[in-house]
Amino acid sequence: MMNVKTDEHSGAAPDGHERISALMDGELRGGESKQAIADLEQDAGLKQTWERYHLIRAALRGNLPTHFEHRISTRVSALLAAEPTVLAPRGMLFKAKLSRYTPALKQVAGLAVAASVTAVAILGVQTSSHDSTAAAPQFAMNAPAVNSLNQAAVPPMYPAEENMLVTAPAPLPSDRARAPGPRWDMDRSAVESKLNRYLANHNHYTKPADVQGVLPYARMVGYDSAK
Amino acid sequence: MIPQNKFVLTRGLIWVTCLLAFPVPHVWAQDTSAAARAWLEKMSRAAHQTSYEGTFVYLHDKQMKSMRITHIVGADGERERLVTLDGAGREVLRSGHDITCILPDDKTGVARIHPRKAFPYALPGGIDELADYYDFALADQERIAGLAAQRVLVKPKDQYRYGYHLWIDQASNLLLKAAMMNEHDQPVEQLMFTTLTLNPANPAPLAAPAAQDGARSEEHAPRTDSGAKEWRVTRPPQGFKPIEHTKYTMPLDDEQVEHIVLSDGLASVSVFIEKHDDHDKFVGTSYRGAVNAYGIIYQDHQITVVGEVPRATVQLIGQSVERIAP
Repeated sequence: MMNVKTDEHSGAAPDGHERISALMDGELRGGESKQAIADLEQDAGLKQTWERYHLIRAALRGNLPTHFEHRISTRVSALLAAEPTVLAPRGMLFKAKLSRYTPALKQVAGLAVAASVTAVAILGVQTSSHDSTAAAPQFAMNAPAVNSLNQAAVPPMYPAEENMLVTAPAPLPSDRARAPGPRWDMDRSAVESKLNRYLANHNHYTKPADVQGVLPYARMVGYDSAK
Repeated sequence: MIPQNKFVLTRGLIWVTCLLAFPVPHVWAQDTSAAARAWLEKMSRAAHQTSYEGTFVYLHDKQMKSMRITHIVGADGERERLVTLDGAGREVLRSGHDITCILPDDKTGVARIHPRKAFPYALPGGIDELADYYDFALADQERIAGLAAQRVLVKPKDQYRYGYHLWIDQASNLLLKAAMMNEHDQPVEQLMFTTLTLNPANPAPLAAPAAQDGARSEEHAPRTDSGAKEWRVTRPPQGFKPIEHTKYTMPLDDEQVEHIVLSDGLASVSVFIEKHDDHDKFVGTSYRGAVNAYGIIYQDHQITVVGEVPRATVQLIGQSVERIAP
């Protein structure tokens, strides 16, 4: 994130932004990072920058959450500020030392919690979206039951066109990131090999050089093997 | 004077009303649909009738590969060679309807597919037959690989098939760029030419090479169509009709496979059914680029559905595979 710079926020000095960027990259030493965190805690504008940097980084890495909690750290901080600080005593000396740093620690702890909540929010989105389509493996497990249902409903031969409209509730994939199964080249090699051969046999029946152009062929060879 | 002015005003109002009432945008939409389909017909013809050589990039799942394709139309028909320029140097060779797939880094090694019968490569009912399941439109013109291209949109009418954005060379009618779009209009697979030469003077050799050292050769020998078909797909999504139903022996593991192909005229889905053995089972979903796969074990058989369609489609088809009552 060293290359990400912004001057749109006038409330903080440019070096504040650079420090945040360095903080995200884990390039600050203990004292510096404490100062950066303290700045972050004080400055609402910097907090927004912090969130924006995370968003930019996620975008650059191509793993944007489907839903982004805007200003979540501000809201979590506000909630934390309203909470009493409880630090368990661990001996007098440590306690005495602690009491000197309590405000700073409170800030660090607050930010750490805020950061972890942000992480949970993003993971939560991914997990919940995962769950929303997690019906797939269950369908697989329940296949005999599903099929026994079909047995009663299904006409003996291919149904007429109007009967082909499927009304069964289908778990719809919303995007690639939500795919519950792994890419098959990340799977076991025996299964990968089998699926590759199936794909080759299948591609023979797609229509190369028509609307899909050479895509079917590119598919057969244009993948990174797990091996 | 005043009555005449009034008349002018009234006449003007009638004109405005007529213009407003007239569904102009609708007419425009129909016009581009017909033009878009004409472009697709031209593209389909050009792809079979033009000799060309070019390099393109192929992008899927955040993976990018560069490839070179040589397509020569001669007295003996079409021949084609596609080579990956990165990694292991995989190849696809096509001569007429024979396809040879060379995968040096795969257990499969060399796979030759000699189909039992030729597949109708041209769209049987033409592009118009697809209009039940897809909308067509013309989009903007863009420059791809230094050439002026017309972008054509193919949009599915439901969520059981993917759409396409196609950039077609205005001079040669060859496909220069293609993007397969999911139901959120996000590309799942893209291909783009970076160079294209028509009628190349010294094309790359098109003969199939001998199997490389250590590579296993897999012959999809003339398919033995052995016995009665035992399975069928009972409830595919609307428009997917069976276009092929064969039974053959899968090389390497000598398994009898029943293979059903369904197509809506553009997208196609294959269903493979074979006797299930305890290892190598595939249950659940998987994908690569635009291709989704779905596997279940049903009545002691492994059912695998593979196709360049959304996951919901392979699932629905997989779940509606049934034994044909004896």
